[in-house]
Amino acid sequence: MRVRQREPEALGRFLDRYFPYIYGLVLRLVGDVPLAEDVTQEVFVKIHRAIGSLDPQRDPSPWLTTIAYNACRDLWRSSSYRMSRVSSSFDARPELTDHLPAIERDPEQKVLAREREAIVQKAIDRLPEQQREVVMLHDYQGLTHDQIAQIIGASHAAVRKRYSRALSALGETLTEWLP
Amino acid sequence: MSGEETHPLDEQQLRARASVRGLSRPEARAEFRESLRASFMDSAQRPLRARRGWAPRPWQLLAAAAVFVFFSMNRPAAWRVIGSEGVAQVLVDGRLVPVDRLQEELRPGRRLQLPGPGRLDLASAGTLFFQLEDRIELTLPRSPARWIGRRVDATVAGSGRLRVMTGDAFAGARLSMRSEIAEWEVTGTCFTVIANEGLLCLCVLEGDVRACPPGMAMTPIPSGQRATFVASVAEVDHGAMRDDERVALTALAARADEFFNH
Repeated sequence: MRVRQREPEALGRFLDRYFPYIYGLVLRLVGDVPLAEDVTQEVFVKIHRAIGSLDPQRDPSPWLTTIAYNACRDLWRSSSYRMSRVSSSFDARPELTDHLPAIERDPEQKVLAREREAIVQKAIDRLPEQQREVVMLHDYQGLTHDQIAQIIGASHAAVRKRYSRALSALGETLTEWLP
Repeated sequence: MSGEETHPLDEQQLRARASVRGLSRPEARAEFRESLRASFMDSAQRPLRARRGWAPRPWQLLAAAAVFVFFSMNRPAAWRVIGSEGVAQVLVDGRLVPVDRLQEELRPGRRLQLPGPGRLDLASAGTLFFQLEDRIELTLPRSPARWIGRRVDATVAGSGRLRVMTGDAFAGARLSMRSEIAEWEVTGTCFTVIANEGLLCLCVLEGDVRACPPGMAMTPIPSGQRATFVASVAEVDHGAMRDDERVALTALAARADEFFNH
């Protein structure tokens, strides 16, 4: 309730709670730290504007994911982003794995985990955007196919089909890269 | 999120799903997060900064500049009309073009022919100098580029003479020429092609010229020598170059040197 009234302390706690959820998704979807920061900022500006309509009885995660997804989709559709995708590849963007959380375990395991994450992210990055968004929203963000269908404006069957194809493509790539 | 799949997932799909589910939440830069938090808490909602969109990275700018410079410097030199004698018009792809407007028509692939007796000099900076005499027809080659596109082709037809001189910037390039009667290629030289009905004679003042009847193995024509080809005859007649061409080529070489060195 205090969040809806835009009380600063409540807004701060709201951001603390949902920032990792939004930033993580955005970064995983766009695969570039500066772009992810821009998109995340835009997402929180939109959240701030619309927070008065937040239903306190419901989990805000699907609503937040919708805003984040729409911001990523707008970015993907921009010609400037397409240019950057042509001229850059995930290979040249080690910054993403540099921002992985520092997990307290032995250094060798840490390095291996980082390398594995980088390979998985690279494989995700190779997926077509329609497949990438579905698999990330479902398995990374934890949304149901119905929720995803509503967010992306597709049928439940289409979401399931894209999800299945995404997993197949991803599985093939990972079998090749991480035998 | 589990249990929604109506079709069972195969092993690869299960592995892919586990990989995605196992991904961590990347940490943001602390400065970014704190700055965003402060802004979000501010009811006035002052945007931190305008969205940057995509901006080229320094290495991309450098690469683009290098590519631009490379292709700018690699661009072949344009053909220029250097002079003419006894010629008012030139046939360009069968159209008569006044000599004073010929410059605009000089494009690689255009067929140039003098409509009657006369002489026309063409050159591209530092690489090639052509002198067309009488009714010989030359399909103008692209002049050799600086690094990529160093092999150029030209064809010769009709009756008349074509004198060719290469400049210092031609070094490492190759000019392949052909007619119905012979094929020849040069890598740095001064020579004449004398074409007459059913006959073709190559007179080499200096440099490297290799020639052959169509489809046969090329053989060199040494400096000061000539090779004469007869239509439909495989044998080539070799001998000393013609004296009149020695004089004409010596004069051409001096003229071309003057052009290339300015």
